[in-house]
Amino acid sequence: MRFLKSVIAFLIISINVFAGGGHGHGHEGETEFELTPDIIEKLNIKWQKVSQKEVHIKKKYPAIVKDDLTLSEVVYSPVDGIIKKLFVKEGDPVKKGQKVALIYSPEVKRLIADINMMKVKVKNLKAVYEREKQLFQSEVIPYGRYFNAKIKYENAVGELKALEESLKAYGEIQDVYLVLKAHIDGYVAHQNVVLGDSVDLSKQIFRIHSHEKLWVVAMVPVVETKFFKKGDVVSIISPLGKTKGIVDFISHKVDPETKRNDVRIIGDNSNDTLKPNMFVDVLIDRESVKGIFVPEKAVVIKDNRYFVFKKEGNHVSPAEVILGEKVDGHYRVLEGIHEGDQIIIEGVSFLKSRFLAEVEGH
Amino acid sequence: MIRWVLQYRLLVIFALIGIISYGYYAFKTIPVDTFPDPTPIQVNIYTEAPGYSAEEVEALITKRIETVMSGIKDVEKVRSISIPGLSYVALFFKDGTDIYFNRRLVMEKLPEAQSKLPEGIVPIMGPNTSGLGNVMIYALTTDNPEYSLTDLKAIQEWLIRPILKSIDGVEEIVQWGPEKAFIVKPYPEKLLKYNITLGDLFESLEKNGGLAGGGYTKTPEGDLVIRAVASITDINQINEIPIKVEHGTVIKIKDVADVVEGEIPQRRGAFTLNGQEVQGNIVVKRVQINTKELIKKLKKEINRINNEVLPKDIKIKILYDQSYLTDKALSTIEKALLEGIILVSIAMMIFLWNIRAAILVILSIPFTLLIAFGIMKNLGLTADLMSLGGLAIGLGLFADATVVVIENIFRHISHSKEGIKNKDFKLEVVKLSVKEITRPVFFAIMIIMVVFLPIFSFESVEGKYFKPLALTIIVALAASLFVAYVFMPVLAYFGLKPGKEKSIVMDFIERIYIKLLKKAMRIGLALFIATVILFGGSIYLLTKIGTEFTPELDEGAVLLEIFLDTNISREEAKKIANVIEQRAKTFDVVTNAFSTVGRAEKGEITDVSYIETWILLKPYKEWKDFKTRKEFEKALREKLKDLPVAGLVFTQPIAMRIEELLSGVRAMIAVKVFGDDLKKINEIAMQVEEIAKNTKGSEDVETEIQSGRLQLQITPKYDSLYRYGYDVERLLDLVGKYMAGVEVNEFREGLISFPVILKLPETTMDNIEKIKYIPLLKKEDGTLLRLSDVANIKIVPGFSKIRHENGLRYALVQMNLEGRDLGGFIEELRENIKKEIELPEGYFIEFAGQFENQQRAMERLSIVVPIAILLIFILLYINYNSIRDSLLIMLNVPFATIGGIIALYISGFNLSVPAAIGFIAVFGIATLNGVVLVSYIRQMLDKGYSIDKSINKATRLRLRPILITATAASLGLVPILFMYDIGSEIQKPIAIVVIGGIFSSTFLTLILLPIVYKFVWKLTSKS
Repeated sequence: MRFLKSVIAFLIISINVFAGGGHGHGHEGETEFELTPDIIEKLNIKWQKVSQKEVHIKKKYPAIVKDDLTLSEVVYSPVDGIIKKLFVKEGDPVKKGQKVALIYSPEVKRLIADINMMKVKVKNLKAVYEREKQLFQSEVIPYGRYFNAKIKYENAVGELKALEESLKAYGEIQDVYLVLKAHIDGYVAHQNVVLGDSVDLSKQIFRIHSHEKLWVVAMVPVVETKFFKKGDVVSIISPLGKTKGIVDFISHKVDPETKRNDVRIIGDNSNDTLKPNMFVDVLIDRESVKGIFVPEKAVVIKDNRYFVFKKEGNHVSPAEVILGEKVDGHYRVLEGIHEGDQIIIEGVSFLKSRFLAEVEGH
Repeated sequence: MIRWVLQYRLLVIFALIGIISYGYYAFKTIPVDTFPDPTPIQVNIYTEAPGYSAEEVEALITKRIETVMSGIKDVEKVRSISIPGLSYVALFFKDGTDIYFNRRLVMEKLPEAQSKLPEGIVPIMGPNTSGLGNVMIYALTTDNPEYSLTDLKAIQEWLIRPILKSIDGVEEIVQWGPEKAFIVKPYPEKLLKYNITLGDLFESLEKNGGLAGGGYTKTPEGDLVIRAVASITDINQINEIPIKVEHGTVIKIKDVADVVEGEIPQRRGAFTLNGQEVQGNIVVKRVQINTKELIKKLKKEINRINNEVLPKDIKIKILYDQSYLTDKALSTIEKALLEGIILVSIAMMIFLWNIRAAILVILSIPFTLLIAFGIMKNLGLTADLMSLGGLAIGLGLFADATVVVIENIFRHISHSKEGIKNKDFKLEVVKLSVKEITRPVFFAIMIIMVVFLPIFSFESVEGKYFKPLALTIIVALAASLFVAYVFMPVLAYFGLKPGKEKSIVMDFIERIYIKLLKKAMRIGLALFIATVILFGGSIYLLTKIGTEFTPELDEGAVLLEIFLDTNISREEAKKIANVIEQRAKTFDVVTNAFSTVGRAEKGEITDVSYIETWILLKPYKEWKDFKTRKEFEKALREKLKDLPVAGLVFTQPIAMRIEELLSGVRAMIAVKVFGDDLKKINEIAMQVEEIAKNTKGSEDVETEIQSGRLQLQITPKYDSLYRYGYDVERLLDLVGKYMAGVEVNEFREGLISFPVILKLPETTMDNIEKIKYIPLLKKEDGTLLRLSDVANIKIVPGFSKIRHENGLRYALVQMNLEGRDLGGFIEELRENIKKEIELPEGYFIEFAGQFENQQRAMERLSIVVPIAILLIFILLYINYNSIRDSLLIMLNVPFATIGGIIALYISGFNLSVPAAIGFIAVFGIATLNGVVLVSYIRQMLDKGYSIDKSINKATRLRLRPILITATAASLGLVPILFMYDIGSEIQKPIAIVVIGGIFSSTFLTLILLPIVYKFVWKLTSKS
């Protein structure tokens, strides 16, 4: 009886095998799948060899961009006056030494007049002095008279110099106007005057910010401030691009709002990637790791499990992997594949389709 | 009546000409179709909800619509599918209800449903169509590379669609391909530079463009219309739209965005033909519209469009139309009818051995058919496989009444050769001969008509399929009576002349029969016992025969369903479709291969991970490499072996669509796992799949992939959001509007308007890292925030499809069957599942698909067949007033059963609904034979003959009519046996059963019935 049963079982199995052999799924029970050249070409399937790589693992912190307070300038008039001309307006970039405004000042005007008066006086006194000198040398006049003329002349020269010095102290003068210049590279952040405004020492005309360097204040959890050292170079990623910065100062206080420690970084903005008040990310190299890295697109996710497709000869099979960090669009594979394995990097969706049943694990 | 008929015989001749002419007219004009539309009466509700996950669609939309709609009158079943972004609810109404009224009821409830849905989400009713709705598929083709797909789509949408939609019967045109739009793609970096938000952009785009009418004004120049014109008609116009002024400089759209002509984003489908994407369209017909007529109109109109409307280098190419199937099926059945008529005619000639009588009998068949056509047309029946099938099956029976009438007249006038030279005498002879047999003939035909009555109790699909068949048979039988009693006496009067009654063939058969009967009488008991054993054996054989609903109808086309990973992209799916098309085209039997990837703008609940490839085949006559469709499918399957797909299912276009509408799945068999927990039911479904794969006969077993749809989930970081002065709404706005794309204005091109859409560019959207950096801006203090600053972004798995039936969730395993019967397979599968899976409480498994129909039909048949037998008995009893005689005649039922079962077994067909109908028919026909014999025996006995003499006389005299009836009935069916073309599948089992049953019952009636009758008579008369 038992023999009969086993014969029947054998028959049923062989019928099943026979019936299922020619058709059916094709991939029932298979864990491998053969890639034919036609499929590789038509579906644009590509693969690459994986190898060990050393990659720096970066840690990311949010940061906010602020003006570098040491790199700002206020333009003001050193003397009371009226705005005669404005060369720049708010928002304009300015270069160091660029003229920004002309000021008309009665004070300057008076000084110039005084200087002109004094120049005439010096000229006259010089002539008197030279004539008296000749007369004295010819011994026509006494020394006392000559000496008197010399003193008067030298006094006048001294007075002229003093007047010119005080004019010069106001800055460059163009005609009768005072020229105001920028002293740093930057852009006009604020403009407080219009033409004809009266200005004096207490009134800001422009505020110029230099954006060559900006402060990037990273908000770092207190325990992680130890990763920052003054002078370290860090990467800054803004929506406008990437740049570098140097750690400048680590605050001793915790921000009451965010409960984080501010780390000030002097960010290089020569390529215009930073703007004040912008949120950016600061990346620091925490450690460097050696391992196998695969492109993000080579990995498929299924029910919170991760797989890559290994290619051996023409055969492809799925390999479950355990992933580590993600760095620059690559995952570190901790387990599942080895150096030298070939993995599919283009067309993984198709293979995912193909292996879905297996991957679902039943 | 007969007196009247013969009196006004000229009138009758005129009436004959008139009725036959009308019948011919009806035959030529009766609407034709392939087969009756079996789809249930249903109304579909679609609700688009962009951005919602399947779970959200289910909870927030589907469930609420289901709740509102399930209360509607006559709704029997509510089925739904929720997929990301789309909800589909199907309401199934009771058969026989008015679809237009049902649609009204649903329409009335729609506002209530909408009020329960999230704001801005609008449920709409789907087109009023059915499983046979996809009547035509065409594509717009061009060799001119200047036309892009969007151009072709615009031509289709604005030029062709209005023309074709105006044809009565076109419910919808489902259109594929990209829709033209103008896309404004802002670059986040540039927005940042100018401190502009997406909201600013949206506002300025929306506000700059349009039209306004200012009424009329009377001026010295006349009465003027006032119009403000600012319609966008040029891309530059969009480019120049100002956004804001900064330091006196106007910042325009072109400063921060690219404006390009493109397509409306988020397209979830494509149509590919022979390896290339094309603009494809499916014409969907309204329910109850005649397909062939519609296609004729469509073709005419398309021809006109090609010649007159379209630019020279664009053409509409028809890829598929359903009328080919109708033509093919009808020509098959018409051929069967014609050949049947010829065969029956030959048989009549031989049996009657009189050319005049034979011609009259033969004429009765076309007369009957034409009258039947006339009645069918007036009853609103269409000529299709089922109704014409009824005619083909009953063909041999339609001559029965006439045979008896003509034979009797012929016998009588042959007896009085001299007398009938007198006209009045001839009239009298005809009248008497007709009268003599009126009652038995009428009664005999009644029996056959009555046995078909129970079929009208069929419901659902089997009802829709087989009621027309039964109805046409009954109508035609009635018509045959009319022909025999009204036309034939008159024609016989004019046409028949006395002749020899004997035919050589009949004499020969009679001699053999009498010898045989004598021998049989001697071993009567043994013969009886042998027959009983044979009957028992055949009943045992019946258990060995597989069961199915109906044999699969061949459509001459293969539909390949391809399942891919749910996260595959449209472009990737297109590549797969292209490979399949190219490879299919390498077979010489394939004429065209085209695919639909995902869904068109409306209609289907599928995504781009599902492809349907239509493979159209040459007529079978032209095939060289393969013999059958199955063989070709096998070869194609082999050829597609290296294709990396999740599943391939082979089916046929119409069959698939009908299955889907009936059971909600696209395969022959579906196992539905009901339960609450989506994960759990999917797990159980996986187990069922495994079991099904190991059950013999299963093919294409697929568990529908319901989970695994990956989502990019953006969840707000509430703290951060509020710290920076934002609210969640702003975040949702960004995700909902600008990521998906939002329509901001209209672009006018002549009469046509295209949308202007604001959407973040692909270069930003195709990378999660970049998405994280999408700037959210705040103007007031210049603070710039990125998405990742205020939201968490991660990839999580979700569900791709959630199905409901009557509000309950279920997972789905579907499969087809190859080389095995449906009933047996289901039984084994059910047993295996029961053994291996222990279902948690509240979880249950249901089988659906064709199997459902089969089960319901078989249950109905188990009641209907006994009722048919009972009806026969009642009729017999009414006629004979004798339980003994009635029961003896009823012996024919087992006699016929023996032959029917053996024939079915030998032919390898399964016991299907058509086979069961064959049994019902053959019971009627077989009883008829018994009636003919027993009536005569009774007559003889009444005349005082002894039982032996009576039987002797009756068997001799009744041999001919019995043989004629049996031969005619079976010969009429013989052509069906030899048909292998589209449309023969359903008729074959009927024909086989009837022929087998007639064979055994005739033989046993002639040999065994007299023996049993004698035995029983002796037994009863002694007592």
